[in-house]
Amino acid sequence: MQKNKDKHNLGGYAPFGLDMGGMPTIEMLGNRRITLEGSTGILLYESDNIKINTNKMVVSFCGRGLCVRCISCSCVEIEGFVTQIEFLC
Amino acid sequence: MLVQLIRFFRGYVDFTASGKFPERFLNITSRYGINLWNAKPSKHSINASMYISDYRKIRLAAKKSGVKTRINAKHGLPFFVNKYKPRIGIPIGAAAGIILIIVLSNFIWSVSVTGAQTVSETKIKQVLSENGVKTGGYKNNLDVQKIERDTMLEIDEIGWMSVNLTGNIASIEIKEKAQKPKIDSSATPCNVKAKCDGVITDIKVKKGNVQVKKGSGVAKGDLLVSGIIETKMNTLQYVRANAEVFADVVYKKDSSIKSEYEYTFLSSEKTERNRVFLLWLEFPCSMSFSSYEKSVFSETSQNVICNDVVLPLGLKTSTQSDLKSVEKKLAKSDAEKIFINDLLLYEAFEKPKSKVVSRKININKTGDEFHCETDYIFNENIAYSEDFSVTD
Repeated sequence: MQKNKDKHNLGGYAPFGLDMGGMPTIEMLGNRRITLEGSTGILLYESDNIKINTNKMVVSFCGRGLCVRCISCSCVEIEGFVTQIEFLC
Repeated sequence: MLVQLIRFFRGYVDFTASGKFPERFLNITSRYGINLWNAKPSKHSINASMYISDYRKIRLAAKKSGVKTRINAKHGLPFFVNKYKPRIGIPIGAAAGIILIIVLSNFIWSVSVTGAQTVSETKIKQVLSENGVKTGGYKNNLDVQKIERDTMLEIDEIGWMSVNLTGNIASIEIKEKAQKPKIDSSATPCNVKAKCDGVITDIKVKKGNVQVKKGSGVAKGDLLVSGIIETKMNTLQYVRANAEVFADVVYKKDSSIKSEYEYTFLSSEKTERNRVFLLWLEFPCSMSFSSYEKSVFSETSQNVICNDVVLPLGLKTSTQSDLKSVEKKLAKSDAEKIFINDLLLYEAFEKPKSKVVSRKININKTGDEFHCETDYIFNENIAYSEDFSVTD
């Protein structure tokens, strides 16, 4: 039981209590749908590659039939068959 | 589903934004807070959808990002309304139809009564109408339980009833009471006497001491069956005498008719006026100003029936028929026919329980009148009960 607790404990910090410093939050539903929070703009929008700029890095999504399902000033929802995610710092 | 409904009501367009940097266009629109969906990339362009109200605001964003926008398709209610704007009658008619349906659904369209066997349906409908359950009555403020109670109090023969308001139809179910048989519970002794003069032909005694015999003549008020019975112990017992005593009774009937009279009949000339009715509203369909010196009116009503429900919609036809009069002389044979018809009606309606033994008709003409003297012998029950006091 104690071991299980230690598994989720990242060096004594709670995972949601970390200071992420404006890092983007990525939520994935398998490899079919991705919600990215903390976007500052879309850099590239193609059906096989979408690059999204955030405060600290550029996140690149590669795949097939990719499209932006919904977009707001800080949140982007991508749908499609995602094969690769790259973080370009 | 809800989002699609909102999109439909607000109206949206599918458009293509083509240029060097369509991504920039997406960023600027998102920064302006413009909602955009179904954005699909293609070479140097983006196909997307947005609300029509937002599409009017993106001119600046398109200019900044260097893209050209072009509408591919328009969807939603605003475009539909705009399409039919020149035909203003269609939306007005649709709105009027909806209002009419809403208004008319507040009224009772049909009243049906089931289960009435001996009680008249007309009487039930009349009482219900006084309580508000009638064709064209406002149904929303009806207190059904009070109506049921009041109707049952008003019509004693009803044992149970239910008023069901289903949509615009009021269906009334009724169960009648089982009527109590009339039992003569009176303890006062009585005699059976004759109510008229006659010759006795048959005696059926249920209780009492018979005082007359078959073939004997009796006068009005004579004692037929006594309520005083002598017991085996030689004591007197007072009972309620009960008997049927049949006797041949003589009746005379005189009648007369004039030999010359004015005969009034309906001529072939008539005027029909039609009116279409809906609930309490009536609209004339035909007009006629012809009038007659003497006339009679009759009115017929034909309702529209849909799925065995009589609707308060139909045609009323009022007919005004001309009456004409001619002077007629009556022959003796015609007078005889009239008298015989008159006598048959008399036998059927005034003496329904009596049997005709003999009928002698004598027709005479005096002056301008025909006289008919009829001698009847009826065989009928002449018994009636008369209470008596024991102390007397």
